[in-house]
Amino acid sequence: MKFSIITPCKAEDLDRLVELKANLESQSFTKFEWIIACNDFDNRFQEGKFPLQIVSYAPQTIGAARNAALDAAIGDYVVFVDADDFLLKDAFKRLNHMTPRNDDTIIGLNHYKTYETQEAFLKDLKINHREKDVLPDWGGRKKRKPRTKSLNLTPADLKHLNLNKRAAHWITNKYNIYSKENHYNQLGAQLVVAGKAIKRQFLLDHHLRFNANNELYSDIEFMMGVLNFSKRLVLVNNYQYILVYHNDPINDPSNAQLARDDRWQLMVKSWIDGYQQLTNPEFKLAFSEYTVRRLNRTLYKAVLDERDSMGDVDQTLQLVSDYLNLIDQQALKSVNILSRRIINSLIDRNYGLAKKLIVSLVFGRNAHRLLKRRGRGITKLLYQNVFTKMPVKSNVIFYESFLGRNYSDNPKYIYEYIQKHYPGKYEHVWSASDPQVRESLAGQANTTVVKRFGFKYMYYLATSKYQVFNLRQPRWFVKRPGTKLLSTWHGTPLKRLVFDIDNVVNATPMYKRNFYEQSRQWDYLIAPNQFSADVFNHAFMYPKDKMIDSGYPRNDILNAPDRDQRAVEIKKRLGIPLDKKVILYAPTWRDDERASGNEYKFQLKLNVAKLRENFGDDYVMILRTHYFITDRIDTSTFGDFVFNESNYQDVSELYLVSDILITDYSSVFFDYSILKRPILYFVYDYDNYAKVLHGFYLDMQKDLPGPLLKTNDEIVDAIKNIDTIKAKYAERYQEFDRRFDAWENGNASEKVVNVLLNDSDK
Amino acid sequence: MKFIINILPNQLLDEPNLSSFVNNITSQYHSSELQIIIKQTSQLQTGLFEYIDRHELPITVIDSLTDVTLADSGDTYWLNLHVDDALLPNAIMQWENTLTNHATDLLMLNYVNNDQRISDQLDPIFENLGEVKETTIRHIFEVDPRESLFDLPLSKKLDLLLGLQSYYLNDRNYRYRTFFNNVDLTGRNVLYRVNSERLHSDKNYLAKLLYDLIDNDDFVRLNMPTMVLSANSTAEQVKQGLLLIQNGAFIFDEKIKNYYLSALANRLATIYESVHADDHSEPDRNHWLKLLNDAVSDLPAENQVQLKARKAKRGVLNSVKQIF
Repeated sequence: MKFSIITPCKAEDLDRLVELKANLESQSFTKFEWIIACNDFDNRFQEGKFPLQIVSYAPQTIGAARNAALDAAIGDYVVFVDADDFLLKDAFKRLNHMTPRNDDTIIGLNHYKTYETQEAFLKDLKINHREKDVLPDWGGRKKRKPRTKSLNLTPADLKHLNLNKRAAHWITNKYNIYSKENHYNQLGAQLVVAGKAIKRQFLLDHHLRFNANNELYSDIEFMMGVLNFSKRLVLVNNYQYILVYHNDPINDPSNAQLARDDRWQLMVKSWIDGYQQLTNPEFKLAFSEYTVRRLNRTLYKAVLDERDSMGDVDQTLQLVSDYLNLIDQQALKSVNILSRRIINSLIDRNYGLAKKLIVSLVFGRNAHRLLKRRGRGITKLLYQNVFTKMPVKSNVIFYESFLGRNYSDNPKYIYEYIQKHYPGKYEHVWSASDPQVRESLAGQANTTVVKRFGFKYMYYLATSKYQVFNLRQPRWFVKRPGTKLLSTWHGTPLKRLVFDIDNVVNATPMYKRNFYEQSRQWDYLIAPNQFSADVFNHAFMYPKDKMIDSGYPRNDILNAPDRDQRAVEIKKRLGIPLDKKVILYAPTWRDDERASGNEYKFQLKLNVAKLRENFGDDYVMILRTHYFITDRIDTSTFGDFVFNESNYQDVSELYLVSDILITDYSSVFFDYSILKRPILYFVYDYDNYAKVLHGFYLDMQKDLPGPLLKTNDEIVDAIKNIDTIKAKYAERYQEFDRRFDAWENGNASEKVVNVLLNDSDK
Repeated sequence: MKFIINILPNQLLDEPNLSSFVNNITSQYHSSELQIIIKQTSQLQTGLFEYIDRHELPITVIDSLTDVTLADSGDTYWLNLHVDDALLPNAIMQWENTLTNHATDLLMLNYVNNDQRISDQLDPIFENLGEVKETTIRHIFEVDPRESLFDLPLSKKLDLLLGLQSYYLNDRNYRYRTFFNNVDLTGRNVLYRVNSERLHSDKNYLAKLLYDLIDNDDFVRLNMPTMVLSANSTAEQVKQGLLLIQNGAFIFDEKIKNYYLSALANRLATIYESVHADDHSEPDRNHWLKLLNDAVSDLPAENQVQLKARKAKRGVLNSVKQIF
C-alpha cells in the first residue's frame, strides 16, 4: 500500500467527510487507504474505490485521533488530510511522482488556505467552465489568490527534450527542495501537518507521535519532531492541497477558529514541549528564530489589546518566559533592539518592564505606519487611543445614513422627529461623505455635519451617547459603557442575509464573523414587520427581545395626513407637471451589466422611448438607478419625459409622487406597497437570474403584489390596462399588505425615539 | 489548437532570411497545427513568392484575410513576426502547455532582443533567483554548486530557463497599464486568439488587441523569454505610434483611458528618442516629427495634457514643447 491517508473527525465533520470521500474518489491516482479516526461515525458511507478504516480514539483530542489512525496505518507513506479540506484532482498523482524518496525526506503538497468550500468551488467550476489551473476564491496570503503558476510540461513533450533523467522527471511536476542551508525556510508552512506526506517507517524509527494532551497545537509539536530528524522537504510548486477555513466561525468554527482563551498558552506549551525533545542544533536555532520573530509580530499587540485568546495575560507571559529561557539565545539577533529588550525582560521575568516597553514599541510601530502612509490612519488612531477615553456626552446623538452618502432613510426621520419634539435638548451630529448631506442640513439648529472618518467624526463617534446607523457601524467601533447604538437597518429583507447564506464568497469570507461581532454592539434593531423580525432573528442571530417592532420611521411620510400636499411640493421641486402622473422605474443593480470599457453609455433594458410614445401625454417617468451607473445613462433624448433622480437624496419622497412603480429584484416595493399603488415587475432576465432567486426569502411567482413582466410590450400593455391589473392582484396585494405593512401606521418615529431616548417598552 | 504565424514585411525580408526564419519555426516541436502565412502585397518583391514556390517553403501566401482558415476547435492563435525574429528552443511547446492550462484570448510573450547577446540578457533572471529556487535547479540540472550560472553555455541556460518557466495571470485592476506598457508596437509579443469576427474587424491590429484586452477580465503572460525579437525600425515605430494615438479614441472608460495615456506617453518618448537618433536624415526626422505632432494635436485638449513627455535625448523635449 503506497499511501495511508489520516483524517481525524468529530461529529460536526461528518457531512464534510462525505464530500472528502467524493474528492478522494475523483483523484487520478487512488492507490491509498483511508483511515478516519472518528468516535461518532454513523456508517453514512462504505468502502469505495480504496480501503477504508474507522478507528476510535481517546482522549477527545485531534492529537489522539491522529495517533490512533497512525497506529492503524499500513501504507509506506502517511498523508495528513483534514475532514474539511480537499485536494486538487492530480494531487496524489503528483505525490506518487515525487516518491520514492529517502526516508528522511518530507513531501509537501503545498497547502493553499481559502474560505471557499469544496462544494462552492466545484459548483463554480461547473457553471462557469473555469480554467484547469483555477484555485478557489478567497484564498492565498491576505486573500490574494496567487497569480503565478509554474509551467509543467507533459510526459509526451519529454522525448523532444535533451534533458538529464532527473530534470526530465522533474519538469512534468516541478517542485522546490528545501535542504541544507535552506532547509528551514518558510518554517511556518512547514510546521503545518496538513498536506504533508511522511515515510511511515521514519515516524516509527524516531518514535514520533502527536501530543494527545494539547487540544489545539499537537501538530506543531509533531512537526517539530519530524523536522528535527528530517534532511529535506520537497514542496510541489503549484498548490495541490486546499486548506479550508470556515466562513461561519460563529456556528461552525474550524480548530484554528475556535474561540478559546487558552489559545496562546496552548501554543506556547507546544513550543516548550516540542523544543525540549529537539536534538538538532541547526533546527533548534531555526525554530528559535522563527518563534522569536513570531512573538515580535503578534505578542505585543495581543498583550496591549488584552485579546481573548491571551486568557490571563500574566500567566501567558510566564509561559512565554519559560519558553524563552529554553531557546538558543542567538535567535534574539533576528529582531530589532527594542524587541530584544522586551524579550530579555521576559527572560528575566520582569513583566512590569516588559509591558512598559511593549507600549513604547507598539506606539513606535503605529507612528512608523502613520509616517509611511503619510498620515493616513491618524484619525482612527486618535479615536482608539484618545477620544474613546474622553467622557461621554449624554446629549449628543450621532447619525449616519448609507455610509454618509445621504441625508435620508430612517436616520433622517428619527432626527427630524427629535428636532421637532425635543427642540434644543440634543446636539445632533451627521456623518457626511457626500456634499449633498451638508447642503441638506445647512442652517439646521443644533446640528453639526462632520466629514466621515475625519477628526471631528472620530471625536463625536467616541463621545456621543447615542448612535443611529442604517448600515453597520465601522469594524473598529468601540462600544462604550452607557452608550446606546440603534441599528435601523434599511429595508425588509428580500435577499438572504448573513447566517442564512450558505456560502458567502460573493461578499467577503469574514462577512459572518464581522457581522456577528458588529451586531452584538447594537442595543436595538428596528423591525418594520413581523416577517423582518423573524428573518433578523435567524439571519443576524439577533434576539427578538432587543428589536423595536415599530415599522420604519422613513415610511411615516407615506402615511402622513398631509402626504398629498407634500407630494405636490415635491413635484414642484422636481419640476414635474402637476397634471401628469408618474411612473417610477427603480431597477436593481446587476454585476454582469456593467458597461465594458469600450462602451460609453449604459443601456437600460426598459424601452423608455416606447413608454414615451404610448404614455407621454399623461405620464412622466422618474428614473432611480444605482449610483454606480447614474452618470452613464443618457436620458437627454427623451426630452421632458424622463427625470433622472438617481441622485435624489430621499427615495421615500419619490414614492410619494409616483402612481406606478416598475421594479424587479429591488426591495423598494416593500415600502412602496404602503401606498397601495400598482407595482409592476420588469424581470426581463428572470430565467438567468434563477441562481440568485434561490437566495431570496420570497417566492417571486407567488408572493409579489404585482405581475412578472418579461418584455417591453408586456409593460406597455400592463400600464394601458392598469385598472385591470389592480383588480387582478387585489387579493394578493391585500395579503402582501397584511404581511409586510401591518405595523406601518405612521408612528414609527415616535415609538423608536421613545425607546431610544426614554427607555420605553419596545 | 492552431498557431498562425504571420510574417510582417520589413526591410530584411529577403530570400535567405525567409529561409532561415522558416527553418527556425519548423524545427520547433509542436503538437498543434502550425501555419506560416504571408500576405501578398505589391510592395514585396515578386521574386519572393516565386522563391517560396520553387523551394516549396511551408508558407501560405494569402491575398486577403478571407483566405485564412481557423481551427474548428475555436483555438486559433495569431502571432505577427518579422523574418529577423526567432523562437527560442521549445517555445511553441511552452505556449501549448500554457494555453492548455489556461486558455486565454491574449498570451503575452516575454522576449529578448536580437541586438545583444542572448546569454547576457538571461543573466538578470539568474541574478534574481531566490536561494531555494537556485539550489533546486542546480540540483535538478546537475550544475556544480561552485559554478556560476552566468558562465554556463547558452544551451544550458536555456535548459534552466525551461525549468524556471512560469506564467502570470494578470487580472489586476491595473493590468491595462501593464499591457499597454509592454506590448510590442507591431503586436509581435502577443499570441492573440482570433475568430472570424476579430479577423475581419476593420480595426487595426493594435486596436483589436486593446479592444479585447478591455473586454476580458484578464490576460496571461509567460514569464521567461521564448523569442528573440528585432527592433522595429524608426519608420515602423512612427507608423505604429500614430495608430496608438488614434486607438485611444476607442477607449471610453476613464480609468482605462488614463492608463492608456500614461503608457502612450512612455511609448511616444521612446519613439521620439528613436526619431532623434543620429543616423537619420534631417528630412526624415522632420517628416516623422510632423506626423507625430499633428496626430497628438488632433487629440482632445485634456488628453494632450495627460500626455506628458518623459525626459529624452537632445531635441525631444523641444519637440514636445512645440506640441504643448
